[in-house]
Amino acid sequence: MFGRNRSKNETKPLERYVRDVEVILQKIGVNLEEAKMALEEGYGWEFRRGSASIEIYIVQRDDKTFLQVLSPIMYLPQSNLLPLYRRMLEYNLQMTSASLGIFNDLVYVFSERPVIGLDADETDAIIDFVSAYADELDNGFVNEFGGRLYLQV
Amino acid sequence: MSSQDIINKGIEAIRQGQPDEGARFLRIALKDATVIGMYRANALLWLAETTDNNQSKLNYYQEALKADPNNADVQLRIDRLMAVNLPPTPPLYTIPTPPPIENPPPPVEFYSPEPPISTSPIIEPEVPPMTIIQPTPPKPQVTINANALYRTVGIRDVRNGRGTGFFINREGIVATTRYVVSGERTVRVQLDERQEVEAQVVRVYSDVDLVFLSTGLTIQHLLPTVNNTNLPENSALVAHSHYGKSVTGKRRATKNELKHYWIPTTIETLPDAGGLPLFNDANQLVGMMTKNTSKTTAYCFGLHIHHIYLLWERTQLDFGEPNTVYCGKCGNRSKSLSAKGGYYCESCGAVLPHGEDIRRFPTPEMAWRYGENLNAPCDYCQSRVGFYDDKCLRCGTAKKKGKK
Repeated sequence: MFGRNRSKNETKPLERYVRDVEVILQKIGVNLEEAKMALEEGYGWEFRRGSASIEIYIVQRDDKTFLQVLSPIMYLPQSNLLPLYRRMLEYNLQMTSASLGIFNDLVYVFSERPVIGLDADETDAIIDFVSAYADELDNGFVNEFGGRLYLQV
Repeated sequence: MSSQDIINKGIEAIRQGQPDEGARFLRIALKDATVIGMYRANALLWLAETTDNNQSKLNYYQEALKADPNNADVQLRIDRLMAVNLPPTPPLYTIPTPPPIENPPPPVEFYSPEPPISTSPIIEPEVPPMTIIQPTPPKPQVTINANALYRTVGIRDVRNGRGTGFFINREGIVATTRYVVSGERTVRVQLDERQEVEAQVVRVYSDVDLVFLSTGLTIQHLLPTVNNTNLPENSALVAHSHYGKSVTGKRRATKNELKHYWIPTTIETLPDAGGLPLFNDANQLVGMMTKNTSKTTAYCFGLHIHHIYLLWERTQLDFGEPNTVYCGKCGNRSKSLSAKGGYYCESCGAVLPHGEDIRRFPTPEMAWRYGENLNAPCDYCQSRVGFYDDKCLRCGTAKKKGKK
């Protein structure tokens, strides 16, 4: 996940996809200069859609390249984790084109699809799905289970 | 060629707009242990002019003061650098004063594109006689300037770009933000341009965006800390990034109810990923800048230094308990280490480091550790894991009415 385990000999085709995705992001109004993440390895962009923070990564797995769209929504609370986890799994079964997941102590809304055949409209739609779920769920989760909204006091 | 000649060469190179070359000469000369007193201080002051990194400058100044304790010029430069509104390039002299030594350091604007004084090429210095330059003993992996005051440290190789941190005690504990460190267990901590150590993440407090790193270093000087817990509204604040930029603002007045440890500021953007030490107008440390905002404004919030110290005390209490282990996923210290089959963090359920590469098996006897088996059994599945919203957490069956 997040493109951290790629081998270095895969960089050439990846860079080609990066250019494609950058064109798509520009078409949907993302400022690439501001959005580009300073990653030690791999490619990522971070921007806001509505009130949601959106992170986009390009990763390669088994010779296939994927577009990952993530929205970090909250830091896990110190307690009440079991009911929160159950609620997240219940939501996962109801969500369309997105799912909930955890990376370290952060809860994410997540969506992934192969880069091949991707166009601007579909990318825009995926980002809309993810940001809408993030907007819908974050306050509810924090109000019910505690924790802290991502990058908010 | 004597060491003083090498110093002069270095100074000349700097004057001609070749700071790297000048710094090289000066470093060669400073290896000579016989260069002492005001001559050493002078060389160090010039060396400080070759870097834009405030931390490195400060280290050179501290070293210069050690070499020449009564040097008012050095003290003035330290005071200037430590001042609240750090002037990145303040001219220290407006009126030329009789130099105490042959080549006083220049105003800091010497990088301005003035025509070079001389176009003669810099001559490679001759290697000074062995009697002058003492062979330096092999350095240990990390040597820090014992007299240095590290106002900031840099955090590198992290997911959200480079960030800043600062020492909170003499045992080398660094405070920075969870956003900077992300989920890493170790990070590279940069002391100045040439020194870097690996630091362990010892505790994460996601609820206040705080991380403690252990560098294993012993620090002599700490930042002066504010005594008062209350910051007056509209009081001046400045936050310093390790990477040379500072941001200024004020303590923002807000009607929103906030936890007492958050400092609302008028600072909107930070020069790095966060963790910058935040100072008041008396140059006292009042907190740490984070990238956290509120729903209604884009202004960033600081975390009060007293709360940071409070949480460090709590962390030390955790350390006092035997058989605890750091969970890199949630940042808590797990007590599962001592229990047979305690593979998982009782706080977040993640596999702990000691359970990662072994064959794990069900350990129902650990249920109490995770807060299970403390509840009445579910009528449908008999699980005692508990209920939430009147539904069994295992099977989702609604609890019968009237049953506790």
